[in-house]
Amino acid sequence: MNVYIMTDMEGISGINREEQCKSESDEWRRSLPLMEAEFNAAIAGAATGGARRIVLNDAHGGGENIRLAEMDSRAEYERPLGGGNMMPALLDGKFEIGFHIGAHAMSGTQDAFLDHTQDSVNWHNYWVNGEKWGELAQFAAYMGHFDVPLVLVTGDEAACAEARALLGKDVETVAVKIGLGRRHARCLAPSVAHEKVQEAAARALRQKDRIKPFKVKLPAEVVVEFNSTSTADNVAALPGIERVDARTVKKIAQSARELVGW
Amino acid sequence: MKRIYIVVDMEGISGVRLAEQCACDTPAWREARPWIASDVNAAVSGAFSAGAEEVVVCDAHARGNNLPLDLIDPRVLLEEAFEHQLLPGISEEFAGIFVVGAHARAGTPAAFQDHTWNQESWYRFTLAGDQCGEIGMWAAYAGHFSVPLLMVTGDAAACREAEDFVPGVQAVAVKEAICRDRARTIHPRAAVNLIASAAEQSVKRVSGIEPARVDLPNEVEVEYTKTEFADEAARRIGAERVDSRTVKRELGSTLDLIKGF
Repeated sequence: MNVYIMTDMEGISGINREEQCKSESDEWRRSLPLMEAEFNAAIAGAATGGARRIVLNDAHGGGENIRLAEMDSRAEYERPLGGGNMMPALLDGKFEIGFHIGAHAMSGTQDAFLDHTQDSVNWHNYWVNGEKWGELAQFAAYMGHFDVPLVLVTGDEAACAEARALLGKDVETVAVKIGLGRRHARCLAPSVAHEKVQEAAARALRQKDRIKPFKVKLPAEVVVEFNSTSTADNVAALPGIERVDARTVKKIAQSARELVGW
Repeated sequence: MKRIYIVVDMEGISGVRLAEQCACDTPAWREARPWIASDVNAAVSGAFSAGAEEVVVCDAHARGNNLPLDLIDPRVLLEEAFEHQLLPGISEEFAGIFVVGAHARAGTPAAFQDHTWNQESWYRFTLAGDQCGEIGMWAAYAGHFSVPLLMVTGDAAACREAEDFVPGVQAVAVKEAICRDRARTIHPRAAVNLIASAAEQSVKRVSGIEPARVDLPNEVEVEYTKTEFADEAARRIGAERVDSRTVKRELGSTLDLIKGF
């Protein structure tokens, strides 16, 4: 069985200050071992559960969040392709299941640590076919595009609740922290969190058939409401974008690949 | 004695046509400061021509200190806004207020620098169930003292907003937005006569304009751009959390319009 692991930083245990998520800051550098250990716990759990091939996509801030020498050698490493292509490179191999480790809740979620969708400065709300979405739904839809079910989500309690609401109660979730407002969190001890993540990863492989791939209905209507009219001015100048109001733009996505990006 | 109170913002000043010209302490802002004086002086001269005997000018842009005093008409008194004291020196003794350099509220299409109070943290401000911008706030605040909004200068969107809020207000559109960060403006020297004559007319026919009234008690609500700003505002006494990013407060006095947000 081949496992694809999407990752983010906000939902990693031990991360409880915004500065820790700012790439290249001192706080971020000090936090790298927390991320590496939690990613490794997921890799170890997948391996224990019988995974043959494991690929880890280091997605926070475009990648480079772990030191490769510290990564469990049973996994392969990749980072997002960039250049507006948000879709992970799932095509290059056949995968049966997906994980999302370190997830955060969608923009506008109360008591969620660093809730945001895509871009915490500019994005206010994001809808697909009239449903409010976060990054979790995007990843689930990317995986679903290749018929890969998202079977395990770890992060704060709000991200886990979002995963259950989106994917059903059978999705494996591990809440490693609870948001106390947007900028504070109460965390499990990282060692306890790693144990739980590893167990859940192994269990998720055994129960993979309980979760169906998440399919977005296409063509999909994608609406983004920005915080500032300036951002909408710039985006509305691009081809295929319709202006809904001062701060809102709309486009039609013909494929799951087009759910994000202009 | 006839007194006029002038609130000054920067986004709607003639000649200001780039977002960066409104960012305090930048070279672009320094270049634009004399145009504030030119628009303000035009309004001041109109008020005096119409018989005003005292004119107070309040600098309400960002943290203040935008008016180049050496260029300002020496007949005026100058003051700065402070926190929720939107118009510190206003009282029942004023015949009317002007807003010079106004911009439209957050979320207005085709408006130069649309925002309400804080462009980083405020997404939408609602007064008595209706969206309200800074023009409405100032008009309502002055209305508490039975003082009407007589004249507004700014971009075309700000003028439309003022006319909606206060029917009959004198509105002088000195520019039009191209997008949020760029505008097409008339020259500051061309704005002088327009503003001065609108100011003079508005003071002469002051009796035709009603002060803006807010039925009390009422409600005010801010939807923030991020949850963390609502986390903070929701902790203050009297705040009610409406949803993740929205906080509501009871409004007992129009002087407390933005207090606690």
